[in-house]
Amino acid sequence: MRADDIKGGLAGRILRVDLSTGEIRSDATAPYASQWIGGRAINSRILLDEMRPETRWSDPENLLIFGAGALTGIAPGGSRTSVDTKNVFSGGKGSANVGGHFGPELRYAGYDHLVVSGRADAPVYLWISNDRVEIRDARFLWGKTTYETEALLHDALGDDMVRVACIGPAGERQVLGSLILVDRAKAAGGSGVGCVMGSKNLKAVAVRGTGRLGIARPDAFTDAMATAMRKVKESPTTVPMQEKTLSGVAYVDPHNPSWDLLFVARNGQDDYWEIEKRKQLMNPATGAPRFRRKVLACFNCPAGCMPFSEIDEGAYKGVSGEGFWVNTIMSATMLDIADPEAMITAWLLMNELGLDGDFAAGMSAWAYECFEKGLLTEKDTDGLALRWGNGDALVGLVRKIAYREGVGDLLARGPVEAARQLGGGSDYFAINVKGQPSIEPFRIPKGWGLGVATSPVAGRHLRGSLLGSGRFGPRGSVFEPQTYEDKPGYVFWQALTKEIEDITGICIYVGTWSGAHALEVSDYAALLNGVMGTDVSEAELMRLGKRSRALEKTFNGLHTDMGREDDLPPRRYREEPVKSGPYKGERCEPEKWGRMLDAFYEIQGLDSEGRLRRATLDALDMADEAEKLAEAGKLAE
Amino acid sequence: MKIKRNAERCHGCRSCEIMCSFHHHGCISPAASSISIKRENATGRVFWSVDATCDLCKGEKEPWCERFCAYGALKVAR
Ligand code: SF4
Ligand code: SF4
Ligand code: SF4
Repeated sequence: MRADDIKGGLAGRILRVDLSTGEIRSDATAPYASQWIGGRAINSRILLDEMRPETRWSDPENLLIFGAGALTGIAPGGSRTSVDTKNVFSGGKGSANVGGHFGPELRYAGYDHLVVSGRADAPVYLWISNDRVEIRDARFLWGKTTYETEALLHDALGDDMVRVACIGPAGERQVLGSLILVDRAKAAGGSGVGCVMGSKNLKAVAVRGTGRLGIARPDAFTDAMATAMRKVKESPTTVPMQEKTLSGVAYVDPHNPSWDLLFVARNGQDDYWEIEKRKQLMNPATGAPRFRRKVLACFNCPAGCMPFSEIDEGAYKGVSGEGFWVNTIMSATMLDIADPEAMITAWLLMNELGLDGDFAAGMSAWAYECFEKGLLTEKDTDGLALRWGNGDALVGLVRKIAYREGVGDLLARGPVEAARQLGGGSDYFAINVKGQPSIEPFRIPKGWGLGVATSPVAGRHLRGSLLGSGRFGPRGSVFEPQTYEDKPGYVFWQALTKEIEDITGICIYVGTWSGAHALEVSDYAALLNGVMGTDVSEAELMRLGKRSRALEKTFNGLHTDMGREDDLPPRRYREEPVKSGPYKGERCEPEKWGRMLDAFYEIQGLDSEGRLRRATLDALDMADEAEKLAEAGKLAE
Repeated sequence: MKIKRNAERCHGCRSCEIMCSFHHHGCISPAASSISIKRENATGRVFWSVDATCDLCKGEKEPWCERFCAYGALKVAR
């Protein structure tokens, strides 16, 4: 596609801000969009082109890039922004994806992407109001929580329609697993993106946009929108999700099969969480759903799934806020916490202080196990009894991690460094993938584990992970979660559709993954063509997905020494079988897992070490990438 | 008021805003919409208003805001 083939949809500019020099400029999006369409793929392209392998995450030369999708602000579920940078855990590609209303606002202000480089001498925030872009003093915001930051910025700017993406005290202190929070609730959580933002002394990005996004073919656009809306309405899961949220639909029933598949108990000591605890955490009368006051939606999302909770009694009375997802339940089981009020409180506190939930839960679960084994005592924790199930202790520990107080300073360093410092064999149960804490299941759902283990951005379940049983994966497909053989094909398909969702900015819960599970790649093609005036096919989009994934693999090849070892499940899950429940005895059997990995590499065109092959890149028109990798000795010839 | 919003159902998604701007201008721009939706992030409350530029989607088969509200929260009487 040529740049002038794109007739609509783009905001038009890529905004570039250098915090070291104060320079602000912008260039055209179209030349990038003609090759990569938008969102994460363009972010990846810029990172690969403009960052040297020896740059560390904490260097001013590291780039922090916000990229709204090509359909963000336009299509149903098109709310998302990809945040990309150097991963603080793996040293490779870092990426986090966030919904809310920030990305659309950025596009209405005229920018598809925002590239931040350098480091400010003192705390600053970025104020973007259409053409007006300023780097402003943020000393009045430093030390404030994410909630306070949004309120203070609304006040200072005199406009409560301003959208804010900011870090909390955790990001300021460069706690590794810090998030960037949007709209007081939605987190760009993984890869330590908030830690990088903190290292740049950038407290917040505030944006207000009143511009327009053009539509190239109005009739085709209207048809594609109508089709998408019809599919969303026809999906049997849409209305329950709108009314009760994702976690409130599936997990109020303690016998829902997903309970047996998805949840890791007590830091991986088991993959089965007892029925009574499920009931305590999630029953509608006294569990977490009882505190739900409202369900909200991200921008233009027809499947709105975001619960707003309010605790009206007990020790946590008065706590309120948006957020309680399936990840919250995953965190609860990792810590054996069945207390709904404490779990809601801890989760909201993570958002408020700017800590990624998976990171905080993963590191806390490690600390709880250290406590169980006597490696940490109440002396080390300032009196917090880190006993399985103790939700009040989690609330205390979250605060300590965010502010790096006492034992929190150890946990803030991440699983590899914390276990190295504490010793005592604690590295064995410092569960991580490529250095990032992981609360994901591996031993039972093999396709889920394969997606997490091989994710180019160090774990997390959105790079191909699926279960089967129709809830995830290609629509209508049903497969056994615990078998190995058929997983590579499914996982690759899901990984590619996620690439396209991050390129277009459409939420996976509206798209191909789960939730409403309504839209497919053919719908994205129709929407893109109506909006941009292009003629891309579904097959071309799937190919673009492969190219986008290859960009991240190339980045990792050039920037790290990660190889096959790093694509394996955590050691505990290879050695210890599941101890109870219907899947008792399951584990990641090294030989079978290895064969599954071989097959997964093969369909991606990688060699047995997980390196890209020249032929693979050539077929994707990525000869330059092949050359760079060859020079670095990282290409499979 | 010819447009009614069911506050219970409204999720604050703002689909109505962008489709309204599409009706008026053939492009997407919440700032150019007759209907505006405001979320208060701290309380989860969603406010709305409709200004004088609303023409009840004259010339269209259906009012766009109602048609594209996935939550059935809007009803336009014309
Ligand atoms: S499905 Fe949920 S997370 Fe996704 S865009 Fe809609 S409200 Fe946001
Ligand atoms: S489209 Fe419906 S649910 Fe969404 S903001 Fe408008 S009225 Fe509310
Ligand atoms: S009826 Fe039409 S013009 Fe009026 S608010 Fe709805 S979409 Fe806008």
